[in-house]
Amino acid sequence: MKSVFAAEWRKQRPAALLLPLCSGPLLIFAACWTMMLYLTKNGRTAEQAFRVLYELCTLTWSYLIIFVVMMFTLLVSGVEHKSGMWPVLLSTPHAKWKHFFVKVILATLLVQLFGLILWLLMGGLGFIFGGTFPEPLLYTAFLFALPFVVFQTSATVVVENPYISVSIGMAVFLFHAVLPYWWLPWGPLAELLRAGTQANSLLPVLMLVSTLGYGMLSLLIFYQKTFSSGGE
Amino acid sequence: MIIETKGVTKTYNRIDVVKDAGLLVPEGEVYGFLGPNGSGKTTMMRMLMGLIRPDSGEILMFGNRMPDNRISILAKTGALIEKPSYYEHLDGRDNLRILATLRGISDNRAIDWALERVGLHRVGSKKVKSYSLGMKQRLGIASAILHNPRLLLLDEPTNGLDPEGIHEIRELIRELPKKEGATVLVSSHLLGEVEQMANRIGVIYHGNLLFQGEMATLLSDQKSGYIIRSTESGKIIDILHEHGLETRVDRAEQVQVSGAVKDKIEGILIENEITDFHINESPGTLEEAYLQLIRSSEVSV
Repeated sequence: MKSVFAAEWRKQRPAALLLPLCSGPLLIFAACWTMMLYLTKNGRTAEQAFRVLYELCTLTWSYLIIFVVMMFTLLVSGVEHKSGMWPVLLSTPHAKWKHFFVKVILATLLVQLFGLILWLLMGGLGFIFGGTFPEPLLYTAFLFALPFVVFQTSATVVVENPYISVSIGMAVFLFHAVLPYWWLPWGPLAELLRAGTQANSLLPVLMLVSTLGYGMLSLLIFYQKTFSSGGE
Repeated sequence: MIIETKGVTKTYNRIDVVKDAGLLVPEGEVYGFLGPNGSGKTTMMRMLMGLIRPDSGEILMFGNRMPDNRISILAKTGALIEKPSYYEHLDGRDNLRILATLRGISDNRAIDWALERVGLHRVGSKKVKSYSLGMKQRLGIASAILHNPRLLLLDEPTNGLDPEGIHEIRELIRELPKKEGATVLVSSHLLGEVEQMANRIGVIYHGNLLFQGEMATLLSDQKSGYIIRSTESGKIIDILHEHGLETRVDRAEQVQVSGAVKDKIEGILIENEITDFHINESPGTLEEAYLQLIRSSEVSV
């Protein structure tokens, strides 16, 4: 497994991964900072300005997460599709699932790192403006998106045409807000968590259901690509 | 046998791409897998590598079943299937390093050795996107031999190579059994290439394995003609034509005759006062044998 992961890292373009990983959170931070400056200069206290910013984040965060997941899964899987290396990789003496699993791990790491950097930067806003920012939820939403990362990675692995996998992500991007909250827990969840205790008690169940659901769906999709040829 | 398949069949859209194939590849030989484009060669090789599963039949490699023992089989096998694939943003050496990592090879000398064997040692540090098709093909072969495999599966290995490159790769393939003790299964639709490389061949056509065995057996089985060496080639052709015999002159200005027995040809020539000639049985070519096999297969269909 270690060698598969080492090979996976070696083949990626560091600049292509690190640029969005660093510049994305920085751009969002800059936009939020500008908004904070605007709000505080127009007579709002830092606490009130944070409140407005928080409302905006809860409304848009799920869209951001889907976009980030799509971007990193495409970057991670695209290197294989572009090079046509799948047959070569699957001809090496490793269990087929490992090649997929390292992609999921890498995509997950990148998405979580993006979330963590963004969370730290947003927390920094509180430090700069002398208030408190209700930041933990901003990161936990990235954490809750894990099942979707697995699903989207398997979709990008199986579907060689990037337009199709992007379309799947875009469909989720456009329609996730109207789906029941257990479908994509990190979307409307923020609102539920804020509203009361109901979501808190339901949260483990929601996570379990969505993780199992996405996991099974991902395996089903992935089966066609690798396990259908048999063997380990 | 290093490869033994029994009744292997693969069907796509109700068409048998490979039908009831029983491939037998002995260890330490170069086996030429011959067939026109679309005859099922690549499908067969993909099944041997565990990339697709046969619909029926059994594949044994190194005495183990594929794909049940896929990992242990692949550890001893190298392959270049379909087209050479690489990470174009990396150089040749880094591409090999990735495959070396996946195969647990930490010694960089293995990479140098592989690059040198295919004549890419001077351009190993160049990005693959700047490589020509021939160079990419060489890199594909380098990645297949990187771990010094006991079995090498090469699908059309000389595609895109210039004549010099074809010669080098051919020599490399011929040397592998002698120097490394490897077995090579090389597929091609180029008869001349297989003829020069392989000592055992399998001919596949429309998914059916029409022939399998020693090259010499195939050549001796075919109905060949005769070669006449003479200073009067032109006259001989005219005379034989008058008697309704099919003739042609080869590059060495020898007259090749088919469709008659030796005694009849000699009789005709002596009758026409030609005595200065030598007649020998034509050794036959792989091309003739191959076409004969294909035609007889079409007739039987």
